[in-house]
Amino acid sequence: MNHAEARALLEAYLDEQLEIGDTVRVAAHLAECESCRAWLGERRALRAQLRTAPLRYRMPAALAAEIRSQAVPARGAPLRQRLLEMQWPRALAASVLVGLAGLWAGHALTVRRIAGEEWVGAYVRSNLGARSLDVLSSDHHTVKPWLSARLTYSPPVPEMSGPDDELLGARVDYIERSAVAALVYRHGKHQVDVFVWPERERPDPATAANAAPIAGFRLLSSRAAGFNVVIVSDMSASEMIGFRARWSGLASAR
Amino acid sequence: MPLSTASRNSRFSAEVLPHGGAAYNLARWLSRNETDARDIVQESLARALQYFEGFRGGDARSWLLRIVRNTASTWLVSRPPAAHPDQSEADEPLEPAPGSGAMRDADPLGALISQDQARVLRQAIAQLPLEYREVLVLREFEDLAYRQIAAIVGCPIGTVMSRLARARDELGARMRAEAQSS
Repeated sequence: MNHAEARALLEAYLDEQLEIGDTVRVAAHLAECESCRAWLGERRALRAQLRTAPLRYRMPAALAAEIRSQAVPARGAPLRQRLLEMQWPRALAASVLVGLAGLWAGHALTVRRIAGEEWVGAYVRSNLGARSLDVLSSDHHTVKPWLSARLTYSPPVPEMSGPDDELLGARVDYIERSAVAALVYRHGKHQVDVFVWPERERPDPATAANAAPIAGFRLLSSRAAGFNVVIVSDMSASEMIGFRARWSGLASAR
Repeated sequence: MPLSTASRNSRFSAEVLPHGGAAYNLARWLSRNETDARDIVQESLARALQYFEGFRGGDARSWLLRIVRNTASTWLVSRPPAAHPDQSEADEPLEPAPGSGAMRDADPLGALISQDQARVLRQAIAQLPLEYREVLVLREFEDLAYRQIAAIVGCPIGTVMSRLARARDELGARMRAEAQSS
């Protein structure tokens, strides 16, 4: 990344709005460019002032009260009377249910975040290190037996040999305390990891993916031929969806 | 009160009203005076309640701020600029951006901002053109991502970044000029 390119991205770098690849490249440029470092230093000082000075207007208390009274059911009756009028058993049951739902939702969110990061982590590690593939073959007759020998299941391995999508090989990853097949494809210039495991083995990945990108990487989940599937890549959302459709079509056809 | 209206109102209270503070701050910075800000917030919340059934869940704050922003722009068009001078005065409650406590610890320089500097900054922001001001307020005081700001303002993400850059250039120049004159 040259000076002009890095300079154009510095504002977004300051705001931490860049994807991980650009963040790394801008940081590398900053390490060797004094003028960019000075610029960034001034911006950071300004931002510190903007964020520590009392500049955010607080809503006047009277307005806040007025707004609440408009949206919330009228509270004409005194508190004691309203308490007496409440239907206690029903209210109690409802509050227990709400509490349980809250616990469940909190749990689901934690699972989703951790799982999503584990998949992205596996994808990023495979890009950083030498170990992107354990078995390097575009032939599913090679890849499928190799995976079956190392896992307790035999995942579908659609070949996808074409100008746009290509099977590069596979590896075995260790995610959430179990070994998972990771099929590695190429789409254009992007690496696409497809994690596949039997549908009954772990929570539905639909809760684990499809969310906002994590550090610039996208996750997309699916089910095909009795397997849970999570696709991770740095492709755009529409490319991800297209890839999932082609992959699932081939996997289900077998 | 029919059950559906009651449950809609309670959902609205739980999901949208907590962002009333963000709505007020945006309305106050866009209109640059307290009276208009109150009216804009009232009007925005009335519209929000009306549209709430169409809200599919998700980012309630961005959804509300988009309504505030649109309400404010029609509001401001209907009144000449001279009708709403900047009234920011000492009796209005102001506070630092949320989450800035941690940042103050991390950045000792930032903690040293004087009342004079804060006043200069406030005036400089108020004098920014509207389209720069709204982007700056959403980014610095609400800590929203470019993507969210783009959705609220209705412009591409690149435009958010360039407007933010212009706004900060302007504020930086004002602060440097202030430092030299004092």
